[in-house]
Amino acid sequence: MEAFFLVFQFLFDPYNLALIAGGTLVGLIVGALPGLGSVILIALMLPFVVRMDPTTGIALCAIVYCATTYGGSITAILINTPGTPAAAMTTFDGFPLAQKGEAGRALGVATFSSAIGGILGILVMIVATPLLAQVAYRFGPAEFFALAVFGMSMLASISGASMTKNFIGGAFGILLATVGTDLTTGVQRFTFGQADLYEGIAVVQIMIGIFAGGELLRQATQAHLKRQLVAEGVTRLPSLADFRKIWKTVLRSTGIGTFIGILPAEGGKVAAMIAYNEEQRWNKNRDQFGKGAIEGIAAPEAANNAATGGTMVPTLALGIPGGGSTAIILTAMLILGLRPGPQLFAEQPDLLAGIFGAMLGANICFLVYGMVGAKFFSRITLIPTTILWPCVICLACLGAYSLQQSMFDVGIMIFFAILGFFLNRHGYAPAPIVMGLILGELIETSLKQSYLIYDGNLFAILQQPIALTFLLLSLVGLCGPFIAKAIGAFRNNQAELLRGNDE
Amino acid sequence: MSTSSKGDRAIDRTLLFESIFIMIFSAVMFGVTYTFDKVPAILAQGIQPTIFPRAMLVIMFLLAALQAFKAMRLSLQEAMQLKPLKAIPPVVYLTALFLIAFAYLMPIIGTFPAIVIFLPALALLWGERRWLLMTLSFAGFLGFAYVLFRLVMNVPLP
Repeated sequence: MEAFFLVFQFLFDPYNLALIAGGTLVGLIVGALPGLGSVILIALMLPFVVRMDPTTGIALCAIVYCATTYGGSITAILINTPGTPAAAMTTFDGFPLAQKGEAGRALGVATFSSAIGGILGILVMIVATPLLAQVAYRFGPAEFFALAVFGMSMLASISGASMTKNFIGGAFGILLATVGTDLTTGVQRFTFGQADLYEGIAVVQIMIGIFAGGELLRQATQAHLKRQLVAEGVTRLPSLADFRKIWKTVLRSTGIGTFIGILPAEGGKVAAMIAYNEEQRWNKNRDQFGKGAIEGIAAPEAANNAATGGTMVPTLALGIPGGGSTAIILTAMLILGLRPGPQLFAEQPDLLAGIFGAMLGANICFLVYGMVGAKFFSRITLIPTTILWPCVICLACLGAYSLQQSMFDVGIMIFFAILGFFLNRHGYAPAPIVMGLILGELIETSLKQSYLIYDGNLFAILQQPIALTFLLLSLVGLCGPFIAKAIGAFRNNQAELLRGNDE
Repeated sequence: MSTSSKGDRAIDRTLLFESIFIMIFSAVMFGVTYTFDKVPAILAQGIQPTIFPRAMLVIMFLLAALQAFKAMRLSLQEAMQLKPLKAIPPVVYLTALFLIAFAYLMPIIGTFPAIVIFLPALALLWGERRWLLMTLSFAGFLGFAYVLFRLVMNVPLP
């Protein structure tokens, strides 16, 4: 109850309300711009956020995270290009519905589903995070090691070309985390005599480079593309019958989204994909999916927005990022001197109330913006890439420089921009690299501490019930794609056999 | 992806080259770990600073080797499903070059003069020809960047 009281206290402060209103507007605009999304925006905001008061800075990150996730649906519906990866499934039914002259109905369904999914996801987060944090009190180095390994094992199932590539990316990220002076021994690793590398490669510059810079080079190949806006009937809102039709879908998908979001490394994109597939499987109206079914818009939107709350649970309670955006938020927290985990609940209740309140406020705010400002946001999608991206990359360079006033950092950012482009081109998604980068230090430190505690016997980790559970879950996570493949092959064989019998 | 076939098997050459590159990278970095300072056992507390990076490099090497093996054992059906990787357009290389030039020019001629050159140059490279739109947008951005970095954040830009 006290948590809810603090959340409402945060929400009724005029300064915080202005922060929510402004942050949501920026998040919505950026989310509506194809190519830009929550990850790039939060990465670009990092240099500013780390100079702010911790509560304001992290709350702002949380606000734009919610708003951009919803904003991605605007482009998905109006120009058939998802503004964010999480909105990819929304194009399947959103764009066909817009083409039928019902863009406003599609946007209204997306807005309503996103807001309800987001709000319910946050309520789950408010309840689940302290509970999970209580469990974290029992965590020692062995448990944290196993948990970080579990987080990395989830790379097996996240998006990307292949599981092997995701793991190579993850290992590369962990390797990057070892660059600099080893804290235990003071030995320099992979610094090549460069004084700028003694404290390690700055995570912020890598993130700005790999996400924003890599995307700039990708956009260079698409600058000639002309986007066609389908905004006919953009102000025509959904009817009451529409809301009645989708409420069950919204609740189902919210459940899926929150659960998927809580799993480390999974995020809105996976949540939206699963929710859409499940809705298509169970909905009576399944024949209409792909042709403009409103349930096909409601399911992915409710799920990806519910996942924003879900992904914050492991991030805040355990310090394990739930996805790309939360990995950057976690980095901001660490730079601001905040250590996620149970102690955060005891020492910083205001900060947590700020995050919960900000996310709740952002969801209510974009519900209002989305319903009344559809026409305005539909115009934003047409800002030319040729104008937008040069400005974005300039902002990225200045942001990278401003952190330590070092041109070396700008060089690092550009290096990772070019590397990020080539890695992405060959199917090595940036998210696993960032996960490795964030979890690398935790894995190494907890492994070393476990080695000391158990007197050199690392097998003793397996005797800790929580650690053993996480390691077994990691094994399941690793085998998951193989099991799914085997089940798929078995089902296909059975279907073939049945077809053969029929003939 | 470029492929070549022999019998009922095909080779995904792009994936194979990628994997070989990663294996070479891992091997070279593994060699670099031998240049790290050695630490007395008591100070290293049982785990030398080389152990963890080496473990990661071994994992990377083994995963890349697995990937190379898979690339050489592709069934013809799988090879047919592979989409050829399009050549990188010159505009990508030029964009990267412009970005490097921008970072190079920043400390020499100053941040804002470098931005004044970089923004229209990149827009023109990407095919933008609407001069009025460019002038207004970039002037607006320049003002925004000045207010944000110089006045609000007080960053001493080069």
